Amino acid sequence: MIRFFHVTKKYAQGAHALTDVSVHVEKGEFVFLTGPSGAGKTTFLKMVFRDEVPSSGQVVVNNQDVATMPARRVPYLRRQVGVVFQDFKLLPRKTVFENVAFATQVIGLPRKEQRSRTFQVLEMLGLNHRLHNYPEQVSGGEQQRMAIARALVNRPLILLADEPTGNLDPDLAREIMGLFRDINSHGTTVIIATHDRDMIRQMGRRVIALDHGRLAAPGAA
Amino acid sequence: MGSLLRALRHHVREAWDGLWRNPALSLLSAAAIGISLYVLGLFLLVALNLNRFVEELSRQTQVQVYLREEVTPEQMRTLRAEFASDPAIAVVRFITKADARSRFQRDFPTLRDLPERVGGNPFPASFELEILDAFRDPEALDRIAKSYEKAPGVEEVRYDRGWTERLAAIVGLVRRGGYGIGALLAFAALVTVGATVRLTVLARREEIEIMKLVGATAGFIRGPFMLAAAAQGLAGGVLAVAGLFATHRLVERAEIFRANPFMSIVAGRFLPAGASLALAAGGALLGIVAAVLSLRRAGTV
Repeated sequence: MIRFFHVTKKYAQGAHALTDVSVHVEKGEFVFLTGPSGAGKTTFLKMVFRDEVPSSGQVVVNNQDVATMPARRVPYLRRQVGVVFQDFKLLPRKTVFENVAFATQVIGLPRKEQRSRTFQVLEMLGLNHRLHNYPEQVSGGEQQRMAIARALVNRPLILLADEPTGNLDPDLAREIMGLFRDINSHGTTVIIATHDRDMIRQMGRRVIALDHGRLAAPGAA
Repeated sequence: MGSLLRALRHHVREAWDGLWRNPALSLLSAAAIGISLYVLGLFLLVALNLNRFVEELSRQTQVQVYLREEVTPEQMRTLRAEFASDPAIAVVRFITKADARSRFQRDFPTLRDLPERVGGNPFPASFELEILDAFRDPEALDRIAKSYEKAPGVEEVRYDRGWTERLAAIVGLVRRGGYGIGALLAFAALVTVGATVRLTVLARREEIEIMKLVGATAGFIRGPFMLAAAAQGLAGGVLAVAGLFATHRLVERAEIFRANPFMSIVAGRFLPAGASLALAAGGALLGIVAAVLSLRRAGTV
């Protein structure tokens, strides 16, 4: 589903975000991406939905070469990849419902379909009592779930989450992780970037560890 | 088809919202386009009217063949025969010395008694030749003039080509001036509309960023901005045509217009419907071009 071949990413200032990373994530896998801050986790994720392109090497997502893909194809790649951002990226002037429905609207789904999918995913995430609240009126955990709902509403093949439990208390973090496991059990490939070692141990899934942009310990943790 | 309609509905709704989010800015854009098209339209109006006048004049193009005092009836017969066989000449009129004098006295009433004072009638008799349309270009006129200049009994051949040519040159100048100033103002309008688009994009960059991240196409993101700019441009174009019409009516009714034949020459008629439509459509086009350039420069979209 996702293949990195000798991927190197250099930024303009000469800093290396990633150096010669080769990784394969299979369809339906649940993988943790870990490493200290600045190890290149976010850059890794960004390459999957082509927010970044490799300086050298190749990234292939669902049989598409991401770097050489023409710009007009990028939106269609992104519809296959749901992303839960570290800072959520919610729109403050839209309600919970509108924030999630927004994602269905911009890909041009019929209105009825927009509504039914949005209700469905909000219910699954336990946000159906918050539909008409604004982001600042709901808790951090609820905002997190809003971000997950938006990432899921277009039924992506791949779900990426960048530090999704970073700001949550342990109970809430476990709950969110359970959610990701459910999503994964329905066939969605899931990659979660985190430096929460306890969480990784509890879940017992494959770990891709990065350190200073290099692969540290490929395979199981 | 359904998705296309949905996208269109989305564009219209978003464009409408965008226009009302900052009405003053939208108005400024429309006004900038309106003013540039209004000025362009004024020049076009004058150029069109002048052009009509020039065409009218050249329709009356005549060649005057002035005769010597001592011209003989035999020479006049020969000339008439030559005119009759010349394919360029439509009508031949003979103006006697007496006709010429009374014409002068009619055209210059204050100088009525001048002919008597200089002793008799100084005006030569002449033939007036009306030229067929097909031979009214400068070269043909020149050839006609040359062919009779050396004929026996002919003093001089004149035609009013200089006049029409100079007028045509003025029309060209007015038109070019209009295009130049119009282009300058259109550029200013482009900058204004572009800035408006950029400000709107900036105000919504969070939303746009998220749209891109969840897979909105560039067209989907740009559509509303382009539509809003087109609407501003169209409004400006319609305002410009309305303003031109009002200006034309005002000038037409003014005292100075009736008293001064020059005004009827430069502003006698309003722009034809096609030109008015083109101005309004030009406004919409200007808006779209400004949006495209601005969105491309903004880069975030």
